[in-house]
Amino acid sequence: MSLDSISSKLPPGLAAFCSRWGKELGVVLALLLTLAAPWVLKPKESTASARYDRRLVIITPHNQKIRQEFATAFARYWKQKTGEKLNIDWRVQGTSEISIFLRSEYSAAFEQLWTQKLGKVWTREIAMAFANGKLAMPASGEKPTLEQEARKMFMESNASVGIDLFFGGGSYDFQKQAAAGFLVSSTPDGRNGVGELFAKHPDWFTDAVIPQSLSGEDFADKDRRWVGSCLSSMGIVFNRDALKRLGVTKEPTQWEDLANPLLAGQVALSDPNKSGTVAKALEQIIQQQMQLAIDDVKSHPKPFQSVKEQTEEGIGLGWERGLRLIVRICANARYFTDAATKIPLEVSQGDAAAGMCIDYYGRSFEEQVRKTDGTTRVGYVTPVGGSSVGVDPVGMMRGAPEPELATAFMEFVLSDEGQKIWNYRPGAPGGPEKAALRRLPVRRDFYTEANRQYMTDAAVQPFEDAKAFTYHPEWTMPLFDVIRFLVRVMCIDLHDEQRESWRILAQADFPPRATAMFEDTKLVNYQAALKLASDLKRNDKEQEVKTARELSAVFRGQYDKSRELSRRGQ
Amino acid sequence: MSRTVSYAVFVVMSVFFACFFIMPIWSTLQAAFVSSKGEFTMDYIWEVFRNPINRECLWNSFLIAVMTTIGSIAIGLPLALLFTRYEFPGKNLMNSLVLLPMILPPFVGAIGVRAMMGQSGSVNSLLIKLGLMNAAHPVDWLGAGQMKGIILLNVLSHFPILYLNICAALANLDPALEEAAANLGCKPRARFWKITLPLITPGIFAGGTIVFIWAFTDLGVPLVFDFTRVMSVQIFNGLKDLSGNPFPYAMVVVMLFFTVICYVTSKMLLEKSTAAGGGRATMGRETIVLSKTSGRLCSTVFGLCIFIVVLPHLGVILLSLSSDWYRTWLPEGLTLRHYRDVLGHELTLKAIGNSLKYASIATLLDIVLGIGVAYVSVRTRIRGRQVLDAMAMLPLAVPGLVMAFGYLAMTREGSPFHWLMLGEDPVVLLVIAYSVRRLPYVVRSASAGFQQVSPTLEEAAQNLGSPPLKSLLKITLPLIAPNLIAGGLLAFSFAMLEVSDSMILAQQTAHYPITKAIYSLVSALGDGPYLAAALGVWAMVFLGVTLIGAGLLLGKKLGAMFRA
Repeated sequence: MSLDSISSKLPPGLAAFCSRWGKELGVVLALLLTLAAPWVLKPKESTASARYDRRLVIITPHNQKIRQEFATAFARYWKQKTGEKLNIDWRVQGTSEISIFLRSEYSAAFEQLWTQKLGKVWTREIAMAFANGKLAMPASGEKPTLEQEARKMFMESNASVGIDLFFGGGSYDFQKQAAAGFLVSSTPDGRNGVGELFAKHPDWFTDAVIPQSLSGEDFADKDRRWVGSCLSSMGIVFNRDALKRLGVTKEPTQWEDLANPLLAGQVALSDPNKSGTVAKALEQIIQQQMQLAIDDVKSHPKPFQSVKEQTEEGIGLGWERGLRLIVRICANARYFTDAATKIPLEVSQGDAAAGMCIDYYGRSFEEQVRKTDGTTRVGYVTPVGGSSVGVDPVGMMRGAPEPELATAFMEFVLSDEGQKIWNYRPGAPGGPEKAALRRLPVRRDFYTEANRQYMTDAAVQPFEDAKAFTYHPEWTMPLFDVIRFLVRVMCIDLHDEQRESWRILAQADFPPRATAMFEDTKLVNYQAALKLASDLKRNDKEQEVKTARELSAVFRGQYDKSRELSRRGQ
Repeated sequence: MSRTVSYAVFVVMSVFFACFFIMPIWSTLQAAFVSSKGEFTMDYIWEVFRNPINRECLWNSFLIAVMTTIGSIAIGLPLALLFTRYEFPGKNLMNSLVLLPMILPPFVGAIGVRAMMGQSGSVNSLLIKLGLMNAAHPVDWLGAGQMKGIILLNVLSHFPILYLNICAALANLDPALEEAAANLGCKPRARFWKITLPLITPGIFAGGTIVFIWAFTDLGVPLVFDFTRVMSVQIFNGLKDLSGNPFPYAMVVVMLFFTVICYVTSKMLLEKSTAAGGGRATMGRETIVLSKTSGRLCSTVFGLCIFIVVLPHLGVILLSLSSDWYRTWLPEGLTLRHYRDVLGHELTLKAIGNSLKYASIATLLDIVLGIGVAYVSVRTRIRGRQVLDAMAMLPLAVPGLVMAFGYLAMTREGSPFHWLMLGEDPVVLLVIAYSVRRLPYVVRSASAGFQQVSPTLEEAAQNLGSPPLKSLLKITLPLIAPNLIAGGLLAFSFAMLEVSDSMILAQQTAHYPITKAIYSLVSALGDGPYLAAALGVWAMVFLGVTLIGAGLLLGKKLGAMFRA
């Protein structure tokens, strides 16, 4: 029916109105239609309604599905228990933003306390000192410096940033926040917090349920400022079609497989400077090489060498081997993304052939693209012996406005009801409502036959896998920032040069001198790295940037030299 | 306007800028000048230049900006000329469609580009299907040749800004001048170079500076290509570095400095060369009705440009409808599920309302501020007006993150501007942040208007007894309305699509604008990109209806206004 035929049927006044204002009417109608769509479809039940009795504020990097499921489940649980209507207020940021945010907010909160309550002057030194966990405290009888006084006062204060809980991220992030004093084990009155959970459920915190640590990884903080809520590990996600296209016949099983030169420009990586998880994965690559090197050294013992000396030699050797492996993997990188979620996505879309990612990302994508015949183009594997099993913790913030709710939430997450949500199939009794979260519960006693029948990842045995890899924090923990720094200097800043040299090297079929030049890491051997670590710890940015510039000039020279050598076939 | 009023406007503008631009920037940027010992230092700044990588980044940024500006002029100017001079089939529709790049939400655009240009994406699949590409070695468009890709994508998404500004300038151009030249025997080509071009230079300058500064500092497009050797990405990476490093701030200072230099130089060059602005259009422009063939040719050229420009849009739309899309040139199956899921999501409705609220108040504020700044800088001789004008352009050069952290710092508890938080509601702060960051568009459009409208008209009104303020309101403002509307529409749609401020300032889900809702959906595992695409399509439809509607409604009135 045309417009004319409609208007001919309308009364004359209306027809005139339509022909005069037709266009305007059309535009307004189209606008109203667009706005009506979300209005019509809006959900009936809401976990963040404007009218509520109490509010729980949680800062988190967890994804939307996890937030939704836990908010709905906990709000319902609390309503049944107390009749109160809750508002779960999620503050969502990446872990690096959370870190910056908490630091600047606590700094502001404490500045106010310091200047207004005490009437003291706020200086740069105080700002640096109040959250410095490494600040030595005065021996008894000694007079504390102003810095020490500030630190002491902050740790005794209830300075608040209006946030109750920190939920999700790696244990690395939690250790950092706890050391700064932003996470607390209990409220000043001692009635709420993780400490209270330990007191209330001593049976939960045993080796049979939540061990304090497993294979060297902490599952709960010794000082009870945080506790793991689910497990996570790093692995390799890959695209079978892309591997086939590139001529890679064997599916990857170990980190070394990512260094295959056939994968040049096809490996998806994250920048370890922006993601603590990736930095952790790189640390594990090095730890694995150290373990292998120690075994090597021990199997060919030199005369008069003690076990301790053998271990030390192995550590040094493993450090360099690990660095070289990282350099090769990075040379294959398509890019260094800042968002870890991008990696499995690009791999599943065939834009990259393989990448490093967190276990449940990989598993989710594997499942999502599964065809009806059961085949899937995406695969995920945890390198056995090359990846540790860690936790995603939860902890209470200093000055939490609702400590009672915060404690109840942590209790809920660790309870049987909460643990089911992590890995039950949607619709299974006690499982998530809408989406499978595909995360592994932290409680060892959860992995029973009764539970496995409802689990989405029933075949996974995280506590068994964890045995294949023992994390030795003392080997690499002091070098954590050095790994980040070196990857930036050697690989990210010089990525174009590195990629080009790698390509030419592969073309020339890895002539020995050129290869040695390409991956020469003598300059940053274990001893040099330890020295670098103490330099970096001084937090002198000028020096750091200068070192970065000088090192990057050396590596740039090496890559250039390597290109030349490969062209000459040496 | 009387002297007192001018001064009052100048003072109000200066205070606003001091409070909401200089203060937040300074509160974060001072880190670039304070050494670890707490003393003033220029070392960090020099260090930026000492590193060869930084020098290369600076050069790349500059190159991208120059090429983008040239490319945008090369597309925007001919299209604007075609549009104002000739009648051809589908003219009005095309005029609206040219604006499409402006309605594409940033992350969503990236998803669309990926879907189309990825190694297993739509374009490659089509080429392989047609036998034009070896299936074993597909081209990695996004992984190789990144600079060229960035410039191309920049040109395609930025040329509408030039197109809009040039169209507004052409609408203000008195056709009588061109006709007089023609009568005196001036050939069309010479007429264009000697009459038209000099007279529309303010419009080209207005659009050109925005495109230049934008491309110079743009972060989104290089990030899509994962290209790190530009200044903006280096800064972004530095800011996200966890160690409280002063060097990214030093880089921001360097970048600001070069932006100001480029802006001031081009402005001085322009002032030297411009022909003195003519009067107002004294007669309507007669558009030439083209013959069938040339008319079709004209539509084809327009259409082709638009087609290339909307490739990412097509990617987003198809993605939002597809059940899976991999190694085929069209999605494997179609579904409306994602729309149902995302529009029924509890974030969505609230976010849409918030975005509308923030963006429209910010646009109104921008128009008021824009008129003020443009008036002071064009019509008065107050000392410092140049500074004010340059200042109004700088928000384009400051990374959103820096501004956002600055705003956060100045409204903390105990800070002088804490009252702006209204309890926990960041609405005032977001409106100010949005409007400061979008002000350049309105200021440039309004300045172009003031430059083209001769002050003699206002003076005549004053001679006839109208008070100064009234003659501004009654004479000049209606005459520059098309400029204001064009600038306002730009400001509105960019405010709707604003990312960085919202990321930092809107912390509670109840205050999320639509872009942050999209962002939090992208990170939803699995079907995240599909959901984000679906909400992105909704945003595109809404902005599209707004812009096309405004074009349709105003099109009629714009024409009428010039003939009055």
